[in-house]
Amino acid sequence: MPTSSSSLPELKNRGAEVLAGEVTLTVALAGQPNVGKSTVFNLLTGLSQHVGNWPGKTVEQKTGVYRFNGTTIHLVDLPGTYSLTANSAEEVIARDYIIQQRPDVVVVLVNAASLERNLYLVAEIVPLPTKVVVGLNMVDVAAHEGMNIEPQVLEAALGVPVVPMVASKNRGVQQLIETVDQLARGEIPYQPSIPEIRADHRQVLDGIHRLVADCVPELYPSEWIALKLLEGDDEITTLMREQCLPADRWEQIHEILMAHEDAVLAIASGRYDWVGRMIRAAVTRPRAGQITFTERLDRWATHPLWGLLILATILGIVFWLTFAIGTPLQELLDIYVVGNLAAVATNWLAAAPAWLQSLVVDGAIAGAGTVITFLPILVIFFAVLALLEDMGYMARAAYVMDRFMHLMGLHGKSFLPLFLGFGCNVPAVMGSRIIDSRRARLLTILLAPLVPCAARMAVIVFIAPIFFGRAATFVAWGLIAVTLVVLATVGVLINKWILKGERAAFIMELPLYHRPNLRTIGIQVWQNSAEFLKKAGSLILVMSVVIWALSTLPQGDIHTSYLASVGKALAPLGALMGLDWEMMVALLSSVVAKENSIATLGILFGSAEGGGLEASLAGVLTPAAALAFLVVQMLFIPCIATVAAIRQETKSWGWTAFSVVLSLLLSLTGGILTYQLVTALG
Amino acid sequence: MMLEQLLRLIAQGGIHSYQDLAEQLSIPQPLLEAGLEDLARLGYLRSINDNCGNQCSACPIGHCSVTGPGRLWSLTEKGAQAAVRLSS
Repeated sequence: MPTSSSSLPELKNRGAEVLAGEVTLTVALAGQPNVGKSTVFNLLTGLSQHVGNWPGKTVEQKTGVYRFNGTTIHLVDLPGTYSLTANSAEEVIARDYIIQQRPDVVVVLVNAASLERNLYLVAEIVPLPTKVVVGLNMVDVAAHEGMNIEPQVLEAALGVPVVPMVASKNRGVQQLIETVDQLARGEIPYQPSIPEIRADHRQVLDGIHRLVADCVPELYPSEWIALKLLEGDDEITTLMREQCLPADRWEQIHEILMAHEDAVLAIASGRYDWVGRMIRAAVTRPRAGQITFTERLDRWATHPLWGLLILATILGIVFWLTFAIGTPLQELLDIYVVGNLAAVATNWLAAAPAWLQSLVVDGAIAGAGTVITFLPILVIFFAVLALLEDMGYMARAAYVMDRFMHLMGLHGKSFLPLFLGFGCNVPAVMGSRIIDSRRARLLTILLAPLVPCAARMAVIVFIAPIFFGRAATFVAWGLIAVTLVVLATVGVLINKWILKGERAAFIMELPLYHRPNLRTIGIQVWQNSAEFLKKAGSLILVMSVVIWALSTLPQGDIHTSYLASVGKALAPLGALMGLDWEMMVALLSSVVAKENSIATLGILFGSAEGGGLEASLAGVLTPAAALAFLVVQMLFIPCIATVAAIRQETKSWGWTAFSVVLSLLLSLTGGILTYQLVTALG
Repeated sequence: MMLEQLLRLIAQGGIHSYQDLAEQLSIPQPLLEAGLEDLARLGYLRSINDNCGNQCSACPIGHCSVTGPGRLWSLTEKGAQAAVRLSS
């Protein structure tokens, strides 16, 4: 295999050729996607473009000609790439072209407003055997964002020419070409600063370099090959192993690589340190008002103590708003919509068989109709959550909750999936996939159903005001607190005995606070509300009909129905919590979907007569029993969707059953203790 | 050595914000973000909430992105092992 090496003297000779007379230069345009490469290319080449494909690839190749000052410049537009690692066909094309075709100059266009990300590519190109000019594009955008970039300082730090420009306004493009021409003629000093790697890895790199130096393919710089091998670059590794190196030499290199599998970090770190130095030298970012506003707020919102108090206060306000606005609206819907609908249906079906009238009025309308009255409550939930999320607060809530969990000893990989469960338990179970240990993942799945989801909260919001009036906000708040204590207690045990104190790591982007976008919030509320209505019109409606059928058959009397038989079998258990058989059946039906318990109560107690469901419930339940019911509801068997997710994630019916039994035991124990304690305390 | 220090900081456990990490490493936040993306590309980190929406499709009133629009990362097994090696 022929060998080659490249060096700056070689490039200087090329400059001398250029000086000698009218010549042709080859200039490659490199850069990340969307930095304005095409704009520059089109400005320079106009109609003299040729569009084809890169040899053997489906990636588009654009070339063109530009004449300047007696020099013919062949421009080659390289594919947009973030780096020169062989991650994609574009990156392989770009680096192969620079190495094998050796353009006279490579112009690397960078986005001035995103210099930290763009300079990494420059860090990879400057060690290659070509001269580089940096086109500092979009300086107007950077200035608009408050960045102050000093191109001369950047040029001095990089050791390569830097040309500030705004390609979209054809500013600086001519200067770019002049600089390219001068650099090619050797009229501009060219001493690029090359990223370095740590001393210990430097020795390793030198060792590999010695082993490959006499075997590298033609045109490839041997040190670059050694670097790419140490980085674990698949393409170069395959090339060297299969086409260049003798087997014994490869074995030696392979051993070195195995002993330094994290060398890629040292190499990439060297480039990042290099980028950091350039940024520190040439860029200052005046602190924008929005940033300082966010920092000021975060001093409180992410504080270990005040952050928690703020979170608890926000939660309290959410419930207060829900009770103050949502509950009266829900009652109005119940009276005027469900009640009137039932009356209209009764009239329309006056001549129909009694069972059909009962099916429509006592089944579909009393069940699904009652659930639909939840809508104002849920709209408020959805709107407040969407508002907090859009403002950027929810990330802070997760951040302070982790610290709180840590204080209690419940920290670990299970935290994040559990936090997701506040919206819905299904993503909480699904989210356990981030946990690598099977045992820890399993236990997180078992904990997930204990997180109070939005549907359970809706049931609380419906029932609490009936029994607790103005104190409903505190009852709701307390129920969530109790549920979290149960969750934390089980979690602490798991952390202590199973995870053995292991603390998982998360990196979270805390977005800047900003004014909420009403359209975004509106869309989110609409989507969630539409999903809820779809569910009420399908699953809940079907279940309402099933519950109605079970409460009617076989003799048309609810007290001798199949449902009553099931409920009465559970009655002794219910008696320990002050709950009669109807309430036990309502709990049981919540397994289909949490809101279904209200639909079932609507069917069993009737929503259209005698003041509606609220009045009926107030007549049959004591506050102690209502509280016990809510405690059970919060901890009860998860809904079918969650159970299905548990089965899917555990791939075990045994563990799925265990989860159901665990929830059942915890909820019934909680309900019985609540009822007995509250009754004993009077 | 930015990426190695970053990995060691993350591996201490708990929840880190971009601001915390950038401050501890004395680097601008955009550089930290680029580093996180590179660590993910190299298999040391993984983004957790990229496909959040798909996971929630099974839930009728699911609201998965509780943490908001920001990105969220966790260490992979490879990242955790590398952090142990780097810390030793």
